[in-house]
Amino acid sequence: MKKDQNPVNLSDTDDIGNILPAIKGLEHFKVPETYFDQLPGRIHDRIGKESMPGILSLLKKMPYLKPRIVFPLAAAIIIIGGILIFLPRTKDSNRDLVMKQDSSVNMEEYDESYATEAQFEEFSYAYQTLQDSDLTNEVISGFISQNENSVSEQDIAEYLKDQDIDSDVLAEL
Amino acid sequence: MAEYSDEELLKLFRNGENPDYAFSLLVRKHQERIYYFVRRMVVDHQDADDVVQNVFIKVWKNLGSFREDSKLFTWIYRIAVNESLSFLKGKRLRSFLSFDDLEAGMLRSLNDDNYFDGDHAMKKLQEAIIRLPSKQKAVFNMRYFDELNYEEMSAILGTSVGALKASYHFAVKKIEEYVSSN
Repeated sequence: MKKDQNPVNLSDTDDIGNILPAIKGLEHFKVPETYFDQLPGRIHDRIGKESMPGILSLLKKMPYLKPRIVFPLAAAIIIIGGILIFLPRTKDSNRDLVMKQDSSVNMEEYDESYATEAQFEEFSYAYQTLQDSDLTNEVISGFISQNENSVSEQDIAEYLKDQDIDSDVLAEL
Repeated sequence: MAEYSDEELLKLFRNGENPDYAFSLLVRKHQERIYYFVRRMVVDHQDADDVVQNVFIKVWKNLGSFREDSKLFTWIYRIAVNESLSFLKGKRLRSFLSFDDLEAGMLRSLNDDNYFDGDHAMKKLQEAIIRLPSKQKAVFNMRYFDELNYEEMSAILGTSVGALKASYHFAVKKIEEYVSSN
């Protein structure tokens, strides 16, 4: 049998100690000062960051939260939230709409007319609930004094006449 | 403070009220040996720092399910080897895409490294190691610097003792040739 001319020596004593005898066992790679003191803390910080539950890891941990449940649920929450946000704004929105429709009306003018309308509603309600006997001089005077800047005595007399108020009461005006 | 054995640390991690503390002790115990293995593999300190952090994060994530088929340090060392090889593979791919050479980049890192204080002979040895294929480099570093026996290396790398002896032998021959010719 032909002997291997270049046998490979696989003994455990294979080393390059004869070539570089002085370097074995010495560490020539250095680290910044305090590196090994800080490394455990930095690893701990990274573990803390990586273990913060993201949406995906949350879904993995809760297999019953499948997309077919999560997405409709999210859509429903968004719709309900939208309704809750916009619903209380309806009155203001109407106002904004009027403002947009008539850009020639400035805010001061609109507020004035709005106030007049509210005032009118208040007066109408008061008149509807009045009995003839309630219309004493004091009450009428009170109305006149409250609205003397805007309503004359003649106006009130005409109004009471239209409302078929007792002629005796009219005569006293 | 007396140093805990790996078995005690594992028990402390699994049963103790403060696994963070047990893990911190585990990191402190093994960080230097793992770091220097990784550093010899990737050369650059920043790269080694990233890889070592990844190693211990993997240890943290899997320590609870560690089956104790092997020693704890062997298991950690195996993670370090795999992380280092994966890092070099990724870096080789990035170097290829950027028309750079991985070994040339590592040699530049070695020469520019403020944290390498080896003399001329040591630098030549590191240059020769950088030129080895990644797995052969791991075998050489484990055997020559960390002085692991072939059985331990076999448990870590999942390679037969015979194959490891051959790999180490060829690594030594390549290094001898490089150092002699330079």
